[in-house]
Parts: sequence; structure tokens; C-alpha cells
Amino acid sequence: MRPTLSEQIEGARKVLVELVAPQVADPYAQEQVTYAAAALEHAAARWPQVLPDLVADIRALEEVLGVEAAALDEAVPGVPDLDAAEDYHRGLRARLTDEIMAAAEPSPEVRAYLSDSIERLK
Amino acid sequence: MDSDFDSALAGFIRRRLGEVGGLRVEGDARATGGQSRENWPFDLFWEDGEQSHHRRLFLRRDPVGSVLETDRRVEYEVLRRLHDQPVRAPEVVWLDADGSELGRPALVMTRYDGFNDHFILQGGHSQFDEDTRAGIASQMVDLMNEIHVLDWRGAGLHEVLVVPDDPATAAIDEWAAVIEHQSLEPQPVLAMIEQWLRRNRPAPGEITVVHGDIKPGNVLFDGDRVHVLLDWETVHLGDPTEDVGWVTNPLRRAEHQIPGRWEADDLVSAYEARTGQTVDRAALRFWQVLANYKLAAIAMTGVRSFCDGRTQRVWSGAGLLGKVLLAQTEGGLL
Repeated sequence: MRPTLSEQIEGARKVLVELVAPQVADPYAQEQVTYAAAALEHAAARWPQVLPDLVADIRALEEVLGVEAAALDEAVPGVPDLDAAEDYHRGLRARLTDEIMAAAEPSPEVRAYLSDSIERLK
Repeated sequence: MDSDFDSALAGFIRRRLGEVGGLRVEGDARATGGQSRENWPFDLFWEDGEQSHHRRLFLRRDPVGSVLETDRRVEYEVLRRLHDQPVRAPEVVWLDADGSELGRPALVMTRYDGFNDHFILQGGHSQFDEDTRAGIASQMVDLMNEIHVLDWRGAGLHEVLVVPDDPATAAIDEWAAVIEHQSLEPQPVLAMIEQWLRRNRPAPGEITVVHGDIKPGNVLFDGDRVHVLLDWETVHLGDPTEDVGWVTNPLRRAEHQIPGRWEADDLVSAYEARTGQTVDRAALRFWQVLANYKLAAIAMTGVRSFCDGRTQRVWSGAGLLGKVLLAQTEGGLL
């Protein structure tokens, strides 16, 4: 459907940058408008990839934790719902955090997962 | 300032000056730059008998949602004790410790002449030539050394600051607690970094004053001269290498270094020349990692403030910090 969500977010960013920012005299408010515009730019660019990247990260976490891949489908039947996928993902990340805190040193697989996940979840 | 705040500030001042005539507060813009405090420069005028007074002051108030939750009373008591010490700290004038008068805890300080320029070493707004910038970088090391050689017992700082038995463990515990308290979700990267820090912590050594946030962005410059170091909210007693690690943090090269002229090794060598002591490189690496772990804790606090609707600043995550921390603990980025 057009405008897509990304196009709408980008449109809102343009209003802030082109229409609102030049009218703002207060330096504090100017600074906040800059942060808000940067956040909208990031959201517009990232939004389409959020769910696929989250699912990819869940699959990587299941592998590093030795969890059956079917668990996501049990937790979130059918096409993953973003909120439910995030809940499931949070649970896996909590489990990984506990394993890291209990281990003497993280395994190379855990390190590799953490490094890749930073890229996927930015 | 808005009218409610104007009248609260006028009342706050009246309670400290007593019955004086012609009391006038001038100042109407919140200064930008501080992410952890609201900053309000103002001029205070009053008359006392025949005499007219004018003081240039600066009010720093805790915001509703901050990136750092520190105690204004401690900062006030430290700055009060530093006033007659050989260190370029600002003079504190008044305190509202619990926010009962100004809405939130606040400090009033003397306002000094000078300008602030976060990226002065890279050119910044000042656009000094390279030799001048190298001179400023060298003065920043003098400033750090000035803090580390302070006689903290003589100044009475042990009366208001904890004297740690093991500064490295105390620092890990402090920032791990902030991350635990502020994080809205599991943090496996930071858990791994915490474990790395615990495995690699340096043995306790000499205890000094540690500023905790030395950077050009916290300095007022008078031309090419380092004039006053502002923002002492993270001051504590600890290992002086912590400050050296903070200023050589690879993520903040743009603030502390001049490419090809004043890099991390030059900075450490200059510090060693001032102190006559060799900086332990393994300890330095620990404190560089700790610097970014601390920044991650600060970012977590900002994210929480944003998600709770307590700050107007829109925060993004701490992905870059995680990436840098992983590289640092694998031996890169030193």
C-alpha cells in the first residue's frame, strides 16, 4: 500500500527538517529536532528489515543455544507477529545472558553470534 | 525561563541573600550541551545598602530523565573542598540538594568567561592551527595530572567520597549495577564484557582523585588556554589510569586526538613524562574497555528515560558501543 510506512516516516522527517527546523530559534529545541529527524531517518531505512532480521537472529540464537528451531513456530504460530517474536527473542537473549554469566569464558560460537547480532539488530 | 521557574529561583536566591533590595535575575535560555543536566546561565543583580552587586552565575539542575543519576550534594561538597586547591574547578555557590526549592536537585556555580568547543582538537568551531591545537592537547594532560596529584586527604575529599580498596572491582560493580537497573531487555554483549572486565582487572595501586569525564567538551577555553574544567558529577577516588583510559578511548578519538600529531601513544607518553611513572598497558586496556562499558551504562539510562517518556531526546540503541567493546576485548582498537 502506498504510501508505505517508510515513505510516511520519511515524509514526517522532511516536515521536521525542511519546515519546522528553520523556524526553531531555541538551541535546545533545535538539538532535539535534529535527534528526532535522525531517528526518523533510521526508522524509515530500517523498518522493512526489522522482522526478517529479528527472525534471522532468533534462528541464530536457537542454534547457539541448541534450541529446536520449531520452538519459534510453537511460540508464534504462522507468520511471526512482531511483538510475539520480540518476546520470544527476549527470552532467548535472557537465556544466553545467563549462560555467559555462568561460563568462565564465552565460546567462539557465542562471540560470533554476538558480533553478527549487533549488525542484524542495529 | 518560564514564570514558575523564575519565581522559584527568585525565592531560592532570596532565602540565601536575605532581605536585599533590587533583586533581579536576567537570563532566558537553557544552554545546550549537557545531556545529564539542564544548564541555565543567568545574571544576578541586587543592592545591599548603598552597594550594587552583580554576579554571573550558572545553574545546573537534574532533568526529569537523565543519562547519569548522580548526587548533587556530593558534587557540591567536592567542589566546595576543591575551591582552595590547585585545580581548575568551578566555584560552587548554592545547592538545592533535594529539589524542594527548584523542582529538582540543582547547583549554582560561578559563570566564567570562555567558550566551549567539544571538537577543538580536530578544528571544531575555533579552527586553530595544528600547533595551537597540539598545545591545547598538551594542556589537557596538564589538567589531568593536576587532578591526579591533588592531596585529597588534605582537601577532605575522603569525607564525601568513598575510598575504594579495589578501584577496578568497585568500578565494574558500580556500572554493572547501573546496567542491571536501567536495561529494559537482556544484554548478552554487556554480560560478556562484564565477565572480561572481571577476568582482566588490574591490581589495586595508588588512589587518587579521578574526574571521570575529562574532555574538551567539559572545558571552558579562554582563547587557546584551558581555563576551567566543568562538570564534576562523576568525580570519585580511584585508579588514575581510569582517566587515562577515558581520554584514550578509541571511540572518542575525535575529541582527544589530532590524527598524525597527537594520538593515544603521544597522550600516554606526555602523561608519563608529567608523572614520572609508566602507565601499565594491560591496566590501560582494562580502563579503555571500562570507559565504553560505562558509556553503555549511560546509553542504557538514556534509552530508559526515552522509553519511559522522561526525556525529549530521542535515543537509539547502543549497537556501536557493543561492536567497539567486542573489538576491544578481542585485542583490537587499542
